[in-house]
Amino acid sequence: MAKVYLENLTKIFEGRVLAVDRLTLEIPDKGLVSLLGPSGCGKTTTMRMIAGLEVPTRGKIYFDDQEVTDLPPEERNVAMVFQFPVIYPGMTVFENIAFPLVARKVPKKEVKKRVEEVANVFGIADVLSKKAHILDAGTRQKVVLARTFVRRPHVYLLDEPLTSVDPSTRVELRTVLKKLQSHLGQTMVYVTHDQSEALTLADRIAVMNEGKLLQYGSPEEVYNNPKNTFVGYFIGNPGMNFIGCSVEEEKGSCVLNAEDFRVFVPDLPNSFLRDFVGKKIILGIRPENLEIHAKAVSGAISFLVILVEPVGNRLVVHLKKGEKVLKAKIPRQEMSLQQEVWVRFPLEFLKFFDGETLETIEV
Amino acid sequence: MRRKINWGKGVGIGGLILYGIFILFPIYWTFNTSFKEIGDVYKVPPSFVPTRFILDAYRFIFQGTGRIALLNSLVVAAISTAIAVVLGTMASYAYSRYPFTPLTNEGAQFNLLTVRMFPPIAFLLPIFWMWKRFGLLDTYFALIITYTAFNLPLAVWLLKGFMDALPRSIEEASYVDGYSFWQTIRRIVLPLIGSGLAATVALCWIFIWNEFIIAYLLGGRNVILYTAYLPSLRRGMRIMWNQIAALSVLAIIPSIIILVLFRKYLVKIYLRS
Ligand SMILES: Nc1ncnc2c1ncn2[C@@H]1O[C@H](COP(=O)(O)OP(=O)(O)OP(=O)(O)O)[C@@H](O)[C@H]1O
Ligand SMILES: [Mg+2]
Repeated sequence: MAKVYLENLTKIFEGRVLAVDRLTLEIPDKGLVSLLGPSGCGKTTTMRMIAGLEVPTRGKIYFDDQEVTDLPPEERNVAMVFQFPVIYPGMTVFENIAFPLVARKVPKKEVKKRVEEVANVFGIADVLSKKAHILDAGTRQKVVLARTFVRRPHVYLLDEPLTSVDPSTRVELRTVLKKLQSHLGQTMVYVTHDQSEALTLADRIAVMNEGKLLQYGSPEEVYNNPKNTFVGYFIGNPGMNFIGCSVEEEKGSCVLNAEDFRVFVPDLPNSFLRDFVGKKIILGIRPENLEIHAKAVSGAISFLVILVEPVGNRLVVHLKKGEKVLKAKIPRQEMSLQQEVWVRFPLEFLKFFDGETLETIEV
Repeated sequence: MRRKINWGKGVGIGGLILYGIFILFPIYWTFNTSFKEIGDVYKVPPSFVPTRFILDAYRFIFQGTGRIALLNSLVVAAISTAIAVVLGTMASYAYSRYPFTPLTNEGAQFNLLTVRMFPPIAFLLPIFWMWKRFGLLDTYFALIITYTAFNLPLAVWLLKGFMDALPRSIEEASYVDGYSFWQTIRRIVLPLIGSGLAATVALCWIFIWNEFIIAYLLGGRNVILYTAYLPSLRRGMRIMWNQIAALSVLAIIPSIIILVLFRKYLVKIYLRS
């Protein structure tokens, strides 16, 4: 097991595609870190550099205190699940799972024991003697995971390991992985573009976009205190609401003028907002933090319901006032289209972002 | 409706039978002739089945230069095929995995193929003079190298197709699982292109085995291949048909063995191209 440290890691493909941009990241020993970001943000490239399959254009990679930047993959002792799962065709399931052990000259008896052990964990003990490439996608993925977890490398690298399987298997495997990780206590990097997967599995989440690390922190941190609007939007289902406003001063307290409505921020320690008077800021609030009332209450603003989507036992309600559209996530209840509702913005949940840099404004 | 189908089927089967006779009869006739005495060969009407198995013709081939010629052919074909397949495997890997270097880019790959687009005779005169200059005419070396030069492009081209079909990620997974480059080649790549290797061996072998002009021009006295030996089975005005037939029967054997062994893989190649 090892701590993995990436220092200013940069990868430029063919001299022009900037895939990863000065990424500095410490993956703690025994930690489960999730790399989260939209398609093409450089997650796979980062993993391939950690594994040694891609040579960084700049920057360094350390396992504990040893620099491994120039080591070939076979000398790094990492285990990786590729985004597009690889099984060795022509080999049986047993041979597939045993393959990395055979490379390390583990004695035959030990190989058999460990393969059977891990096959049991993934529920594929009954297909060990079958040819691996004839199995269905879900079982193949279990074979790939078993081959990964049959040994104890410095770090496990899992590149979207659950996207190629059907939803029910996905839920099952997610539980297995979580159990395995806490049971084994091993360093693991888990790539996903599904924020809910990252939130449920990871100790820490690294949010990336366009090759850059935007925020690195615990699930609560990235959820509660997004560092910029991108993280706020990307984390959460649905993502954070953003309302562009100009800051105005009225009778000694601050008002956020969104043109179609105004939000008063009276008793906030609003000295920091005073610096923004006359400037543009972005107000952010999570859909689950908006308060919806059927009747007018003080401080609430009236909106029209334009769309209602049930999500699990909750409703996502799209609300409109003038040009502005907000999403609110509320417990299931009667809600009809074109109904008028009153929306309150609880002060403690308001986030403020700089209108130009889109970075959070520290309160 | 039903009748129509049967008609078509009947014609098809009839056609196949005719075609089979057309192909197989000469082979049978060669076989038949090889067991005759030379006097019987010219008899009219000929005997369609061997009445007595006279082994004179075979004896002649086995005792004389015929045996040496057959052995020479075996040696040259085996060594040259081996070299072409080994080099071809390495080159095709480079062509498939690193297609952007000056030696492996599209232009280079096309140039390689042009060697096979012209009839061998187009290159043979310069090659002849070259070996003559080096004093290497009529040696195993010259024959093996020349055959390899003609077979290598074929081997590379065939094997590259198989290499291309092998996803790169399989090799990468093998590296991550702890295998070095050479271990990966041996344990992953070679087994997975096995059918390609078999087919390439067969096609290279067959080219050499059936080839006449190179054998005739570059060999002939010290190193005589059986194809170059065949024409000498003519005594003055008399053509020793029974001996030619015996040599042919013997020469067919390795080809049949290869075809039977590698049939499955050859079909795959023809389907692919
Ligand atoms: N071998 C390559 N050559 C050129 N460009 C590449 C190569 N590999 C990746 N890229 C580019 O680098 C960028 C990052 O790709 P990467 O595969 O790391 O993204 P990702 O975050 O894994 O995306 P996804 O969620 O789709 O898997 C993309 O713009 C991609 O087109
Ligand atoms: Mg990816």
